[in-house]
Amino acid sequence: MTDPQKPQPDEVEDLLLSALYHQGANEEPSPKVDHAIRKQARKEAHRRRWFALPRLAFTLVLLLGVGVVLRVFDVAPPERAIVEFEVSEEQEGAPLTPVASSADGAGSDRVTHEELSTRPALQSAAPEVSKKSSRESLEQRMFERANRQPGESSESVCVGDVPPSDAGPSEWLRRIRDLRQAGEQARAGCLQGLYRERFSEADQIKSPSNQE
Amino acid sequence: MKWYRDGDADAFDRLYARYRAPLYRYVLRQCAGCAEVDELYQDVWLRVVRARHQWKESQRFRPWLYRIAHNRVVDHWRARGATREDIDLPDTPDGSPLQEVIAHLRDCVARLKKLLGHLPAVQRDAFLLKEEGGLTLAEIAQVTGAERETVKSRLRYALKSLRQGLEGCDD
Repeated sequence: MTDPQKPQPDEVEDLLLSALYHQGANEEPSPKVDHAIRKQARKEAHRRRWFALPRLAFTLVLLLGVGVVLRVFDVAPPERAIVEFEVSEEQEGAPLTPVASSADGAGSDRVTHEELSTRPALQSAAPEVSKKSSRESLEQRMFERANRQPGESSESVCVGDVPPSDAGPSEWLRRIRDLRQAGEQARAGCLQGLYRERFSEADQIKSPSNQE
Repeated sequence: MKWYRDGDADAFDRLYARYRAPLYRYVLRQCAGCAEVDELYQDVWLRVVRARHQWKESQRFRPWLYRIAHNRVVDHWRARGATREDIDLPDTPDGSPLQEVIAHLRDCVARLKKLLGHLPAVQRDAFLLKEEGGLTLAEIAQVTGAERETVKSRLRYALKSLRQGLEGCDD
């Protein structure tokens, strides 16, 4: 029987071998090599720091640029979005029409569910409820705006020029152009503001990224 | 290493002072007889410097360092198109000992170095990673990309060969 605590002869020899190896292991790199390595390490560390500065500045400029571009697109929606809306509305068929519903005024000028259910484009969209409520809110505001008394706000100058609620963007654009040609810049500007508000919101409704 | 990686250039000096000699011997024994020892050794440290951002705090520095050295040595062997077994080591000068014991010891050390040079490369590598690197079996396996049992076997064979070649040195 061998004692587990007692080292085996091979282990003793291995330890002796290790000790013998370390007896002769005294070689070291020359000071010249040491110096070269240390110098190189310092140089690398220093160079990296200098490289980091322009990289940081470049990143900041890039982020600022992207921020500005996003901001610009956020303020003025691209023309393409309006055109897309125009095309899709033509495909949809008859535009939405506000209808007076309950007598208490709650939910007045809403688009009926039956009317919405007849439109294939709206049916195919995923967030049905969200789209409906946004569209309802837009229609309601447009209706209220069109029925404001003259002098209520600066937009009242063009109340009479607002196309019917079922009119598409082309009709709006035609009226704005006519007013401009007639020299009615204030009314044209007012109508253009309403146009932007209406169709940018309508575009948001259509945008898939706006699904909540 | 963390400090150096984070930009403290002085930290490298401390790190270097600690590992320079054993790492140098590791490279030297792997490449004894070839003229490029200093160049190889310098290149290992340069790789360490350049790869410092790849080092993670969760890993020990020593195995990471020896893995770089091991890879560099393997690259060197491949570039030469030969393994170390083919290379004969020059006799290590054993000085002029005055006492018989010292002479005997020196003779044994010289024989050991020579024997080491004649070991198969993988066995020598495992032996040096253990003796110079101070690595465990698991760490050697990690560095060389071999199984732990394979490393254990390599070490056993290396020690056996060295013991056989050093008969008369155990007294």
